[in-house]
Amino acid sequence: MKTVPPSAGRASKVSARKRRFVGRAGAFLIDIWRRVALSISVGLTALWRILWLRTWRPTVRQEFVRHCWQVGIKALPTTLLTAVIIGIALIFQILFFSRGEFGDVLGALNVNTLVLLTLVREIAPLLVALIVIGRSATVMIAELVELRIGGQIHMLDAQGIDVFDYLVVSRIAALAACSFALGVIFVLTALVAGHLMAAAAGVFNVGFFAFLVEATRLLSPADYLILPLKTLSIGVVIGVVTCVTALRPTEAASDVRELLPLGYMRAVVTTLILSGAISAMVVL
Amino acid sequence: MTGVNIDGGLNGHGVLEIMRATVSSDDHERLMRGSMRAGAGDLVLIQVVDLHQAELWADLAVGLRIPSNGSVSIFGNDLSDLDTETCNWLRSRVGRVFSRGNWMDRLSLIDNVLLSARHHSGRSDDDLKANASSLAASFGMPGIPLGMPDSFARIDLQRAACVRAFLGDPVLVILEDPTYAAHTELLKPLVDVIRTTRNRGAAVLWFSPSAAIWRDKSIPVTRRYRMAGDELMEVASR
Repeated sequence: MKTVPPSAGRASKVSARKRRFVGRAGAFLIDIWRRVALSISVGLTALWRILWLRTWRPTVRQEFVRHCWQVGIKALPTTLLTAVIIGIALIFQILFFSRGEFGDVLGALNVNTLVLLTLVREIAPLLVALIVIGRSATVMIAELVELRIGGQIHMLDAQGIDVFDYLVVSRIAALAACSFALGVIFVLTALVAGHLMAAAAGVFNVGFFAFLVEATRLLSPADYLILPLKTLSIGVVIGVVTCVTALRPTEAASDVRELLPLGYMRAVVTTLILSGAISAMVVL
Repeated sequence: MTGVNIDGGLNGHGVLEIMRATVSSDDHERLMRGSMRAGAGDLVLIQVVDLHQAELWADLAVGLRIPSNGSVSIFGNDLSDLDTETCNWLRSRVGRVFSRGNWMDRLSLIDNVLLSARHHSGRSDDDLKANASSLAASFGMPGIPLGMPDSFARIDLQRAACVRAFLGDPVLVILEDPTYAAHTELLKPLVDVIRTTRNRGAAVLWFSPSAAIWRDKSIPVTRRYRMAGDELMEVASR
């Protein structure tokens, strides 16, 4: 009679554990890939539908306007306040970098250009994105989850209202348009606040319009492209993440208490990755 | 716009035909089977065990659920053969009182009532409001209220849901327990509006779990169906 050595039993248990681990890791990666693929297809379909005139029925237009109010107008005070604080902070950074050992290190580098480029390329798009995510995307997630759980999405479907156009396209379009508008307002407000602060501190002697002309001269054509490119694409991505999180919940997280922080984190991480990728693309 | 014929008189089909359809419940634990026909001018009363069953059959009738066997057609157009846009257009011609999720909280009641009509029809807002007000008067309301849905009593919401279902001359009206919580107040006006709708050639499906509705002789029912276990059976009309 043959006997199985004890080491063989242990080996089979270890191998079973390994198989389970590999299986779970595989399932996790497949789930992530499916979610990414879904988000990409939702984003591309939404962009395609935005271009169609027949997407913009009166009800979809009304939703778009309502979201513009929610995302753009209601976030305006926060955006203006943040821009003023950043504009003033940047003037202090210019002062700091322009003197002492930093002035020697930076040498030939134009500190004003550096700060202006940082504001236009990185600070404005990212801060606007964070304001939009915190102020509006979370509200949208809560609203969409409520509609899904309450049966209103089923009600819209049963009335022949295209849920994708009515709920998703209107939100993505509003988030993109308002992110761009808020980005431009942010840059202009930061420049005005910075100029006022600099004038009060006696740093610049130039007038406001001369200051604006100088600022526009310092920006290259790529810099004029990067602000709309970043803010529009970040708006689209925030919209896609918001809608996919709320309307396609996972089994683990399906109610609003779990989906809100999940959606917030997904939107922030995706925004940071996208912003970095666009910056890298422009540099390379 | 879609090339789909919804004139039953021209092509000889019934408004709605569900032929030997099998559909699974939400939890996929039960399979329900049955056939149903609603011709032009029919009022079909369907007694269900609960409103989940009503929603299931109503969804099947408008193509929101795909039967695993059998077919569903509106005016002879098999819903499984139609693209999404055409299905949406057909659904816009179906009025419905839902058993749940009737109202979007962030829209006023009048915006909720007019939502589908605004989405699908090119009619002016004034025209739609006049039509809705006239229907509201039929259901005992002075007009469609402007407030938010959560500020109204259940009976007013049920009246407004009926107004929405009959707005815009639908070819098929699906009522999921329309007199819930307002049986005595709503029954007579509802029967009157149903009569007018049937005279235009539309069909009406009335789902109810209530035995009182089933026995009520004031409802001019032309066909009766009842869920017997998992099977939808036609019952001879008295």
